[in-house]
Amino acid sequence: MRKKGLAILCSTALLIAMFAGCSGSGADSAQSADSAAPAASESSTVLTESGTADLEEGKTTIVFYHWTPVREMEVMVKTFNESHDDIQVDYKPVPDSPDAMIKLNTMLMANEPMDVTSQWSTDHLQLRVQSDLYEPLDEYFEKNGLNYEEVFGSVVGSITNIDGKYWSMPYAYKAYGVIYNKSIFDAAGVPYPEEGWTWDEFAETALAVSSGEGASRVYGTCLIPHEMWYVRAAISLGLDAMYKPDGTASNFDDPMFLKGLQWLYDMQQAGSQKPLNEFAELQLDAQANRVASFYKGNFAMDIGPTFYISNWGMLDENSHDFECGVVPLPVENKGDPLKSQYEFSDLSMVKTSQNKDAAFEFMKFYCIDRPDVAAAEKCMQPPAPFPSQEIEDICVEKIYSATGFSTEEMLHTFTNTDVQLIPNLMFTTKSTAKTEIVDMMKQECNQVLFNEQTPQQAVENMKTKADDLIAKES
Amino acid sequence: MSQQQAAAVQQQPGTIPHRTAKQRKRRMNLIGWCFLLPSFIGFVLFRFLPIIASFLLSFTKWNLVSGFSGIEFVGLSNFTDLVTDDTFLVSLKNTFLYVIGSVPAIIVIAIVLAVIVNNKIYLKSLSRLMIYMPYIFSMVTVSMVWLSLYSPNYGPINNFLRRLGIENPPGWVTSSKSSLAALVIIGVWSMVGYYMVIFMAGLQNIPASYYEAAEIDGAGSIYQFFKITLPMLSPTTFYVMITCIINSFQVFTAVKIMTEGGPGTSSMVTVYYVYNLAVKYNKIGYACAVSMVLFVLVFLITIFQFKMQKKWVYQE
Repeated sequence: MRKKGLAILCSTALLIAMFAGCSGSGADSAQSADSAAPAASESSTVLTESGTADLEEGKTTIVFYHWTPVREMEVMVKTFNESHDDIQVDYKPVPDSPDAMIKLNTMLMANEPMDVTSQWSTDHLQLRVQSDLYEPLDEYFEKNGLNYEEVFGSVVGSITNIDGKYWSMPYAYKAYGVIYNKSIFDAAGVPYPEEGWTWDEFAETALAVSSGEGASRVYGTCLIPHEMWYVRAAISLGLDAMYKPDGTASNFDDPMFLKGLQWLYDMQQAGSQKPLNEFAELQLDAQANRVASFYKGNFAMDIGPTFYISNWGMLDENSHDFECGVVPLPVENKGDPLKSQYEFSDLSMVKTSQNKDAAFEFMKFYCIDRPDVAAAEKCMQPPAPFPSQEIEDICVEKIYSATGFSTEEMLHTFTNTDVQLIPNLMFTTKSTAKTEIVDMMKQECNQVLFNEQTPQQAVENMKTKADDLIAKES
Repeated sequence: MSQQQAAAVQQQPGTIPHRTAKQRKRRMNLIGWCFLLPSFIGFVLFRFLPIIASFLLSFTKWNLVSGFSGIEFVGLSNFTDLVTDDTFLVSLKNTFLYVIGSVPAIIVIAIVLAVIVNNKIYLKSLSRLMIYMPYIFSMVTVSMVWLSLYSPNYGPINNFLRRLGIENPPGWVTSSKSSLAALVIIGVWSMVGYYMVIFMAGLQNIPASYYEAAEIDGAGSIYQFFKITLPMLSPTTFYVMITCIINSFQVFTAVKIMTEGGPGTSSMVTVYYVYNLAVKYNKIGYACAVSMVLFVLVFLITIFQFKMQKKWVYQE
């Protein structure tokens, strides 16, 4: 009898635990979604790995999900909460892992209390907009007397505008430049690259500065092939470069794609680009590892944004004693206008937000009003004009200053208004079968650099396969 | 004697114990069910229902983000699409190649190792431990280490092969020709220890008298191995084969970490393809259809093995 009682007791306890764990948080959701009544606390803002620890009673709380590490959000959250009497932000970090978007998508679908969040790419933005998970921002821009394209420019507007409405606002952007190790150039007796140089000169320079043999060879460059082979095509062809204008077919038959892939392949064959089959062992597919390798002096030139310099370049593990230079991206032909690929990170308002005006106020703070505590904390470039000289000075100090680099050169490379900004190939207004196409591009590109096919064969395969994927998806 | 008296007599000494036994049995059953219930509910919630849900979703087109209202019934079109889906067909071929490459190797090596460490050898415990250890390690960590070992230019494996005089050693995970073989090697290496332990348990159950009799009859150790050990181990081998085939059909981690199905689609296996479809491409319905095909294939193979066991599994 005792055994029976024990068994029933244990089973009941387990059942209750199981159902408690599995049950939806309907009541909780309702309570949390109405985030005007958060947990009580009177102390100042403290961020933990699970969210803002101390929230004040009586303030409207904005729940903000993002993948940025807590340490890069602390100043922003503190500043926002202290500068707003009636609103506070509850920052909830999502681990920055490959499945971060899946987690966020699942949370959005499950109506997890959330006011503001972000996405990795325009695909996710389009998917969430199509799935009615986001709130259009036009009304809030109007209410606040702001004009979207005046603030962020038409390039961004063309991407974030879906069906005539704006669905996200950028908080940071990345322009690209060529970063080079001056000591390797000096040792090789090669002059530093100059603005207006060509992609062919990039390849020649990379070969000229390469030296050594075997595992200790210093390469001219070490670009991640599947992310860099199409840069030339993207910059030359502009927005939606991978699709034909009507979106019914891919654009890989454009000669620029072959040109870009051939350029990278030739550099690897010449011994100036680190071979792809050496990437896996050193995990160079991870940008941070590859950039660390640059600061160890393992290769001479890299293509990257500001945070490679002022954020990662300032980490203790990347401390270096050599001087570096920065120069704008090369051009196709001498005398061509300067261009750079452009990427941005953005915030969107969640449709189920119970405090939309407050959510917009937070987004405005993050994206427009206080870049000094938002984008600049990550050493990324603010997309909106600086609201004041003081904030501009702080941003310049944080974003464009780094040991071994000239601030003047950095400003000239990354903020030069003469440089035309062209969206990265991945920033598109079309998204038909895009994820599959991007995966396929990577495999085809890798096969070229593993010497399993020629660049010509690869782009032909890309064209055939991408067209097939688009047709199936359509 | 009246009927009432007769009934009272029948109910007393003979019938009371009978009813008590019945009650006891029912009580024991109830206790058994109570102990089973949490696990059973767990199975139903986290195994059985997802299988049913996958089956139902395989007839739909659905991306997770659109919510349940976005589920669109498409009939058999997911299954008909599979017939012309090159990546799926390649993944199926690669999965079968992986199973064919890894399962026999695991079984043969595990039996041989089990027999060796079951005998009197030096450092017996240490040997068992070392062979079993790869099974304990996280496959993610193991895959990272193997990436270094497989490095085509400076990795220790190819350096060793070059010293042996092989001028063009394989590119391993960087070559379409060898990527699947590289995964098979890791699969065998990581699982052999586990199955060796199972075979060792099987070896313990073979009566020593059989070997003693064989020795008296003049049978050598190899003859004993083939005529006593292998037949007597056949029930264990049958179990190992079933579980090993099912596990091999589900290979994923090493593929995800080391090759991502490449170069090209040379190491694309079905479970990794399902992952891509569901997680990366948001094609939940189609991914469920692929899963169901894999489920049916594994199920049929398992049934076939059970049917065939009568022909080769020795039952005492």
